[in-house]
Amino acid sequence: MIRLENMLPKAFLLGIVEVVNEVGPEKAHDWLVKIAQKIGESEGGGIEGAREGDLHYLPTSPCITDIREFIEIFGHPDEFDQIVEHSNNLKDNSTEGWKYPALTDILGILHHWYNYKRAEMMGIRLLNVGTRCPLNEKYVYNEKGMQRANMTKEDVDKVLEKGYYVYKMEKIKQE
Amino acid sequence: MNLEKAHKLYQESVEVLKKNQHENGGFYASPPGTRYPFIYPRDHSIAILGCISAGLMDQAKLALKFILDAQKPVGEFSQRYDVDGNDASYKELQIDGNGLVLYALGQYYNASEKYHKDGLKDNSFIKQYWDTIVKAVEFIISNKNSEVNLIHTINSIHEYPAYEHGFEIYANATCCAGLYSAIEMGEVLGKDISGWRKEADEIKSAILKRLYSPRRRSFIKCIRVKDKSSKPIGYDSFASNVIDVDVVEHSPAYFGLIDENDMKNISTVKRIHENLWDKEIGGMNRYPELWNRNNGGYGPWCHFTGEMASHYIAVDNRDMAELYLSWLVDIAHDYKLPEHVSTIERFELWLEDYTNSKILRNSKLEMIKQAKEHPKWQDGLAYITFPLIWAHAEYIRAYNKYINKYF
Repeated sequence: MIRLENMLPKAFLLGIVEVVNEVGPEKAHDWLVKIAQKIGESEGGGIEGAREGDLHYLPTSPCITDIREFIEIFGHPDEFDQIVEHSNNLKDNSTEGWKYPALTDILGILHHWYNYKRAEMMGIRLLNVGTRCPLNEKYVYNEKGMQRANMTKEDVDKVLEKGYYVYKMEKIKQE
Repeated sequence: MNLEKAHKLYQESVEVLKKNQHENGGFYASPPGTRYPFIYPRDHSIAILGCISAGLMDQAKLALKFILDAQKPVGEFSQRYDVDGNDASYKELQIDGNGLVLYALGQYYNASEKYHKDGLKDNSFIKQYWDTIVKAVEFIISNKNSEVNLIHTINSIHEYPAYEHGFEIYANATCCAGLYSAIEMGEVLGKDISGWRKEADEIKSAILKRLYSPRRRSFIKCIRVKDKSSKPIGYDSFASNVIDVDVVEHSPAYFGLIDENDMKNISTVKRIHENLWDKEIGGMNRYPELWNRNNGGYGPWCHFTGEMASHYIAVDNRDMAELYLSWLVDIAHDYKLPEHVSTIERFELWLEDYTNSKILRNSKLEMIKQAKEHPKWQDGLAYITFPLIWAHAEYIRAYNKYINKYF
């Protein structure tokens, strides 16, 4: 159901589809990362969610209702998958693949780079070692992140049982 | 009232404050290993007021430095911080934090004169943080609705949007009091803050008019409105009132916007006492049981009981003051106060409700375990979150007022 009052999230998601069609998934991806970082910057340093020692997780999946409703109305756009695929390629091909998200859906890009920016501002590097997909409950991992965090899938799974996005918090060393 | 025990509880409360301040300045809401080992600006601000009352001015100043340095770029003080002052929020806006920090700073500033060796106020401190004060004020004003002149919030003192989303009385009282504190400090520094006074006066006037029900002879909890910029608010999808009794309907007097003896306040407190004094175990509940967000079971809260004791001391109703204060003295275990107390029966009822509804969070499991392991469980009582620093800060304030008035 769309009403004038609640159209903005759907308009934004539809906008992502249009941007992919206009400029391709690579630029659309970069555009989303920039948006997330800019919002993160305006909010300032911090980490939102629950903590257990040097582990951090989000007990809920933010904005899931918005994306579910969008998919119910418009179907699951291929354009979202293209962006996810591009992000995964960047992760797999980069020597710094640990800094990319363990991505399950399009919103993960916004969540991840927003969280990453805010944590960075407080001197913490967030390694997104695993994510539980809020749409189908499947677990996805960032192997490079896990390796750097010195964590196994079993370690990550334990946290994924109670949260959606799992991060290892790593102190950024001053150079 | 057992004065000896009351004094011992005071001394222990001062120790609790000292022990639960991290070296960086933040007051834990409850000690590490318990439920709230973070710094919540709301609890933290009341801990500062407790310090001021107890003469712990160095601790108060350190705590103020901590929170003022932790301000977010937009001027907001977040829901909670870690011990290093990093934002660790997980809930939406709680704007009363902005009001409380400014109010606590103003109270520190005024009290500093008494403790300074030359009898001077700590002008250099407010000068050092003037830019932070300005941003905090601007953030409050940016959340003011121009149609009703009230501050909009999503959460307030109970972190319960279902009853607090909109123009809520505690958030408005704290923000208004915080603005007046900022005005006072600005005037001392010779700043042009004439616009702020207009804003503060408008909010105060709106609290007294729109958040007061003459027929009920009571302040009311909240004008529910979803969007802060809704105009006209009558068309907002939430548009309605929360007219149930809530202990924080006392907050216009608590934060000095009106006198404790003001008839509006006297009749409000009468309604609060009649409806929220716990008839089974004594003490002050925070809102009606049927709101049913009673984590750990419905029951009286120590810091609200302390707040009400302060009211009765201010209006010179000694019998009632002692009823409230002595309840705190009696309920303390090992001279420590919990967040709130419930009966086992109510605790189990809450657990059943939350389990059946599948709204029992994992994070509550530790709280349940600690309540059941607490020695008072054997006496039929659930002590929830033990100790709570806020409860001790409020007791310190009430006890000092009581001693100063009657001895």
